[in-house]
Amino acid sequence: MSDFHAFANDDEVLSIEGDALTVSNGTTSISFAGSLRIGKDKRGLKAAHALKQAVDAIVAALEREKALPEVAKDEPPEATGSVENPFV
Amino acid sequence: MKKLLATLLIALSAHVVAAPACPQFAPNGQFPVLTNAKLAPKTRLLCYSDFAVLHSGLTHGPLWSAEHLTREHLGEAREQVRTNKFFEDPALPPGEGATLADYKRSGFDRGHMSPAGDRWNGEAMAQSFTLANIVPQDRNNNQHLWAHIETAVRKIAVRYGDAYVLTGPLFTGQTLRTIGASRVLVPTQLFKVVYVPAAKEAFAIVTDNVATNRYEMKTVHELEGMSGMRFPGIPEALKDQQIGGLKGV
Repeated sequence: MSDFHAFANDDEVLSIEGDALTVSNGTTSISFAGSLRIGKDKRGLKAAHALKQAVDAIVAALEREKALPEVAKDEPPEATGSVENPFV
Repeated sequence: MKKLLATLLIALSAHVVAAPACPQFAPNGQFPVLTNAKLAPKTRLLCYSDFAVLHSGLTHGPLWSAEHLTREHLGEAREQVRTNKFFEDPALPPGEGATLADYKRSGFDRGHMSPAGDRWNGEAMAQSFTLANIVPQDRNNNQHLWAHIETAVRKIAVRYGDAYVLTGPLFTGQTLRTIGASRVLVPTQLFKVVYVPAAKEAFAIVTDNVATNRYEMKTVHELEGMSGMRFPGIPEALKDQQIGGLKGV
């Protein structure tokens, strides 16, 4: 979608056919989750367009980068904290 | 005048707690009752256009999220194609809600309680991305097992015409993990309570908040015991029903 700003934020999610397939934006990676059956019908075309626009936005954003590494290192998640359970 | 307005606002907010403004999302118009008094501090009922949340300023997330699924609305939900954004809920006082920063680099998914895929219009779908409807959920669990459970529940609602669904986190054990500067509590388990009026059926589903393909079917009474909540809108006669399992999960 034109309103999917690939790699620009960590908060956008493109949802296709409810949440059959979701494309979750991120500043370091973008995740696809779910499964989508594209029928030979108008609904299928709408879904295919949405998917294509998202992938086009991702490709364009990556091609704009001057110095892409071969494989970027994953940043490890921050350590979780710990508290006494307030409900027991 | 200012003083009068403030008094009025207090009166109004007290009224909201006493009489929910959106009883249509709960079976027989009755939301869950917190039987564990320790859950009650800093709770707020938040009404959205097609679901409702009881938010906790202690967990910095929902204690439950309630929705009424209908065949017609789920048909509309399947047509939704849109870009949404997770957001910090402006209805919550500072410090009570989770922040986007809490989840960033936490290693957890932002797991919807009332799922985005059940929302039947753009406004409702956008609202479902409020962090008030979100808990820190294991990524694998959210994307696989939980997605299958949500789909199976949708199929039940489509088959029988409608279903009431309550979804929320459980917090068990002496210590809990937290994420972010707000110290958002990480649930140890997740539950759904499903009531299908046309089938005279009610049951609960529980899964650990870890990468797993396992879930457990519970009776509503069993879940009432585990959760510290009571579900007065579900007929007592259905609360001991044993259901085998979910199709396709």
